[in-house]
Amino acid sequence: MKIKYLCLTSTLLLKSIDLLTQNTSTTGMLSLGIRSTISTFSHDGVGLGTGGQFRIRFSPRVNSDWFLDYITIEKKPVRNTYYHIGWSVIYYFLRYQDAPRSIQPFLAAGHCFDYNQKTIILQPHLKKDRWGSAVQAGAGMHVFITPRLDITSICQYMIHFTPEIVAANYNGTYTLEIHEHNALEGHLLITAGLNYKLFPLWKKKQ
Amino acid sequence: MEKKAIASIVFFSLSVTMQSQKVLQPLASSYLTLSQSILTNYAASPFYLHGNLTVFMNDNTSAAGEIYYYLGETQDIKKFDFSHLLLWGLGKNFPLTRNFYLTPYLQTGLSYSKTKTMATDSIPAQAGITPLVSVKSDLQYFIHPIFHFFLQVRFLYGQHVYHPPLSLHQIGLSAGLGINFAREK
Repeated sequence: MKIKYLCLTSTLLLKSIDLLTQNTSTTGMLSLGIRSTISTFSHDGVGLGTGGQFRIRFSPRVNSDWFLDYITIEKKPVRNTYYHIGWSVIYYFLRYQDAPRSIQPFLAAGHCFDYNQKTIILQPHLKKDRWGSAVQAGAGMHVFITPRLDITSICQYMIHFTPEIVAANYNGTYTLEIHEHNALEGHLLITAGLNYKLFPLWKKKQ
Repeated sequence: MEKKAIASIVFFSLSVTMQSQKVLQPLASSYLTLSQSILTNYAASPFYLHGNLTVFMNDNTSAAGEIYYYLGETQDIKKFDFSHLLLWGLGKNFPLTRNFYLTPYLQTGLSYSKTKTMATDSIPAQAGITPLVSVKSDLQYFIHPIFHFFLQVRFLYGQHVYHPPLSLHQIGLSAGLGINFAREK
């Protein structure tokens, strides 16, 4: 009996989401997704990140992406940990069309707050961290698997506006120093993620 | 006694077969099983207690969250003190035949691992959380409104960046019987 109730409740819940999201390309659409990021072309080395994002679409050509990434990079003698919390505006330079059109390219640009901690791997008590600000811009595309599910890949360059922490080697002894002249250094972020359109937050006025 | 046992098995098989004639619409599924992995860069085979929760968001999309609790390794010389994995992601359902689903997933996640301290190490191994990415494929056969068989194959990519660093790339396999909520179509 309980199972029947559970099935009935789940069915009703899924159906109500179905009804809310019949038109998946509407303005105000909220999407939720997961992402993995490769960080490269940096003095820190190549690293892997995990995270998630939600999207709110403002108009047929403009979407917004709100993300959180946790990235770790190991390049001896230093271990790097990055947190990126930020947003990007996505602009569809071709007319936006959902599935069955399979690919939708876009340009993206935005801002993020970033936290970086560097640790000397063999001297874990030697660590330094900083909070900073960064901007990122790049291009990417949605590949629509279903009207609600898409794979999104994006390649963007992120520039930090904060002095970098650098490991200095003095006769085999490492120290971590903040180098002011390294401000504006950045890294290339290649991200792949999956997004699911949930429901429109508001309806377009007729 | 034996006749009763055989009769029970036959009755259960028949009831399952009769249920499997119905077309089921899975809504959510879950399982707990043992999972075996092989690290691709080292001679190490960790095994896990593997828990899964899948929600069928509609006919063609699923969301799955998984936890792998490290139980040990099949080799005598172990690479890890522990290596627990947490993954979440979305997948596309391909109904193969009636009640039979193939679902490839892209997942992201985290590992909480600590490698073994080597005798030659001057400092002890450190535990830490590192990002993971995984591609997996689930084969699920819904035999009953509350039971299904499953087979999962996955490739997991990651790097433990704490001392001593170790690649976490691995191929894994899980299989067994799970529970589900499903309704007749």
